[in-house]
Amino acid sequence: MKKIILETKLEKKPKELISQRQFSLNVIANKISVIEQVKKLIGMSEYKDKIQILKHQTDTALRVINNFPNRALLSDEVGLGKTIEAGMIIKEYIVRKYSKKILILTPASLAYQWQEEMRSKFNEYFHIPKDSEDYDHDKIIISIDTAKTDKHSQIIKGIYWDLLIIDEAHKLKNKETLNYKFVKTIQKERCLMLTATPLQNNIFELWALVDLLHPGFFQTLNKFQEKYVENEEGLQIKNPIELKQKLEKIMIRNLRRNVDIKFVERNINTHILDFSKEEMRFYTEAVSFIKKRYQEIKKIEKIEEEKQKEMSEEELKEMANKYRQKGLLTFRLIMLTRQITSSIQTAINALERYKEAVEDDKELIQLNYIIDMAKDIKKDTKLEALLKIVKKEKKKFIIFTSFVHTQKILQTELAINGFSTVIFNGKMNAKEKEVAIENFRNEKQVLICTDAGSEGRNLQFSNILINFDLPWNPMRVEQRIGRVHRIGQTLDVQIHNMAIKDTVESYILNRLYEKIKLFEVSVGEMDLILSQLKSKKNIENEIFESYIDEENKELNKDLMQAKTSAEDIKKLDGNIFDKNGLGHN
Amino acid sequence: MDLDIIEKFFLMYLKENKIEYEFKNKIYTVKFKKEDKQIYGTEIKCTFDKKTSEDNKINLIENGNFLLDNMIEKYNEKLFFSNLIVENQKEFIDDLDNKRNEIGKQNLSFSTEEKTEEFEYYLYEILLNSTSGREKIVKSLIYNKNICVDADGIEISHLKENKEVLEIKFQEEAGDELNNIIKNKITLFEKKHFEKINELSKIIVEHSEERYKELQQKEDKIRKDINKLREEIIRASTFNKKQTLTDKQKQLHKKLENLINKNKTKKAQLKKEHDFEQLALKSRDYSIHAKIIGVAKIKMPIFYTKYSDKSKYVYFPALNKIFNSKGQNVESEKEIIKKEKEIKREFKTPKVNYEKINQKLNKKVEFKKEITVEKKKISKPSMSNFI
Repeated sequence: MKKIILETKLEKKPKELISQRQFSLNVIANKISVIEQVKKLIGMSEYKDKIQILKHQTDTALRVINNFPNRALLSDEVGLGKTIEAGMIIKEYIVRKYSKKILILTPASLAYQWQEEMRSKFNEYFHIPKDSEDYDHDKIIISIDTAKTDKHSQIIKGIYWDLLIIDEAHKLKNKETLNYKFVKTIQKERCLMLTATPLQNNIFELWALVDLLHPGFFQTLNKFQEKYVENEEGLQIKNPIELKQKLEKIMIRNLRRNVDIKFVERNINTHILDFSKEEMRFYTEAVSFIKKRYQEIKKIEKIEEEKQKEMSEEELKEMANKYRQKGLLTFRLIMLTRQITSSIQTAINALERYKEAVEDDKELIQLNYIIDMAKDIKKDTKLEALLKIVKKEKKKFIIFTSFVHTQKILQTELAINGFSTVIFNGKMNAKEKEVAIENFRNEKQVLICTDAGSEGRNLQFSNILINFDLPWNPMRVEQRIGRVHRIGQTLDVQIHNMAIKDTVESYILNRLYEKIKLFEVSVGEMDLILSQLKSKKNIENEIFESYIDEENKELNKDLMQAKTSAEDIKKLDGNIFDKNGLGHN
Repeated sequence: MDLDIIEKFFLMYLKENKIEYEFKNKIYTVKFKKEDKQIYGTEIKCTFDKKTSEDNKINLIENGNFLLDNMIEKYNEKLFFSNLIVENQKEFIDDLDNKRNEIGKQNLSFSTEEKTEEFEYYLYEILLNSTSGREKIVKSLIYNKNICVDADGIEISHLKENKEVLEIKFQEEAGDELNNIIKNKITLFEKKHFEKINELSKIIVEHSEERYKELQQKEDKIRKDINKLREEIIRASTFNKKQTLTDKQKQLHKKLENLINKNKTKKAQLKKEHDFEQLALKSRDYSIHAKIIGVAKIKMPIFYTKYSDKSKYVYFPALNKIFNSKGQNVESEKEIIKKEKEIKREFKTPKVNYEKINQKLNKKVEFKKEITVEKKKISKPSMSNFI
């Protein structure tokens, strides 16, 4: 199969004729620019003003284009700009006309972020397909979960892709999963796989990733084991030099300590605040209500589990529906628990909305009582504390909250106190988001941000970050900090955490985050630790259960074990990639 | 790339852009103008000589050098048009005599006619992209209604600006001729592409064979254990021991049966994967993309020579090349024919020879038969067997 395109028609008519010398310069310039190796990224002129390009990123892009067999595993440590490297390679392939049909597979939460990054940084417009017609576009981004559905998978498999990019590729380490099998059937000319954690449990995962990328590169798993693996668990290796030499032909792993970047420090300031008597009374009542609701849900679940054994198929279906509802209710309880410590106004708003789901009269009376109690509270301790922290601040700062309602309150209060503010959240469209960030960069002092809208944004022109409420998922904290503590930040980053004593906030801060040293571990380690958690439950559910049920010590134990396992993997990583990694030296 | 050409370009660039420079001991000291100072600084010392560069720790001008890249960038990214002329010179006739010798028809009589004709000059950028790699080539051709020839190596020093106003018409037909001009390049490129595919295909086959072999070996390992047990059963001194070993052997048979069933699915999957990978490899395409990057009208003298055997040749002094009537350069004509013969473009997908592997393995291990026999003996143990 071959494609020959000869553009032998001229779109442009001659306007100006050049001199003989200019003619000669043009002819020679074109002839001497013909070089076998790509020594210069010609696509760079389009993005060099938008992003700060680092040497290791240019080296990586050139190495992949020049030396790799159309396949590459980009495994830089977190924070070194893998997405930028992939973007540079994609751009180069496009401008050099190596690739036209391009598919990017991402985890569901990152599809829009990729689309935005490719647009804003590389001026490349990728489409997120909804229907089959959308595949007429050459550049597609789709979450792997959507891609493997019947509606999309047949179309994707039917196209011969010039370039396939797989983000968070470590999720394909298991050969038995549907995702792995699906990716295996995609026809592609070139393939880039991206992961910061090529090793999460053992070295066999690395084999599986490479085998997916380039079947046969390491021969069979048994042969690989014979040659390079010392023990059955796959945590110790042999022939490390040979293994490294082999990996260098297909994998790049730049390490933070080997690149020319000065990473600034993180200074953590934790503000543990005391609720006023009224606030604490309200909080206790609200939590006791939540606890009671949760116990009821659990009780029903237990009874139905028993019944399940004797149920018909129809009854089972009906129960599944109920379960779904209960799942939703549990989720709402989790949200409520988080909202009641965010701010008093947010708490009132959340409780009012929760009333809509309550049918029981007694419960309604109790809820109204709690709401009235909240309405009687005269002062908001957290808000006052925030104003104290920022009172004398002249520099730009960012406040993170998980809730849009709290965001509005903060905006009003800060405006009253003379701060110029701009908000940023997931409800805004792409244009509005751009404007907000530009306003913050050029004019406003405070950016009030929710988690939903901030992923992937570079806010390193500010170095002060305030966590007005703490997310329960440690990765979210990491993502927030990652907005400012990243390449390009020149000042030490100041992080202020606000938490109320004897509430779920201080519980998370002291009993969970402290244990895993959330604010101290290097960027990326958190992901590794969380991947080691044995429980398959959502971490927010786990935290909720362990907070509500004081006797539940599972999460604590699980987190500690995960931290130890992560240490073992770090050792293995060090043994394979040693001090120089697999990047530029 | 020839260093002389790069140096020629470098000097031409400085002259065209009125940039002052000094040249001493192989070192150029270039003094940049105000507008370039931000990029290059006030002055740059550079050389085209590697040793001089190392000894003096100064810029070596070669492909990939920042200074050269910027110079190139200024001239190679836009479509250009020009109107040129090659003036007739006395030495063209002498050159023609030399070129006639290359044709090798000294015994035939000939007649030569000199003409000045107008040509379109086209400079094309051709991007070739395939499994074996990527290549960019720049080709040029000159074209008019009578003849179209490869214009690489056009002698720039012969060209002058044409003061006459000529109407520049661009001939789309020239594009069709490009195909012929680059045919040889494409054929070689195709060859490399298929060689690479064959190489990758071989890796896939070997990989599949190994995986198949490993599955088979697991089965053979159990067969070996069963055979070992059979020997032990025969040698067993007590009934109890015989019974225990027989039970163990039964379990192994069961295990083998399960494994064979499991492997059946795995082998089918393996074959599916192998076929898919081969198919994907086969459908890998290669592409050729050509676009015009420069056009010029060139008025120039050419010489038509007609031999007594009716063959016709055209000599282009500006190219210092003689072409036959098909537009083929006489020098490279024979070489092209030779290369084309060498090229094999056929691609066949190698297949995994599962049967062959089976044969090899069975030859080595040779258990199948024995197991069938053993099964009969051991599946119904009875006292009489042992007394």
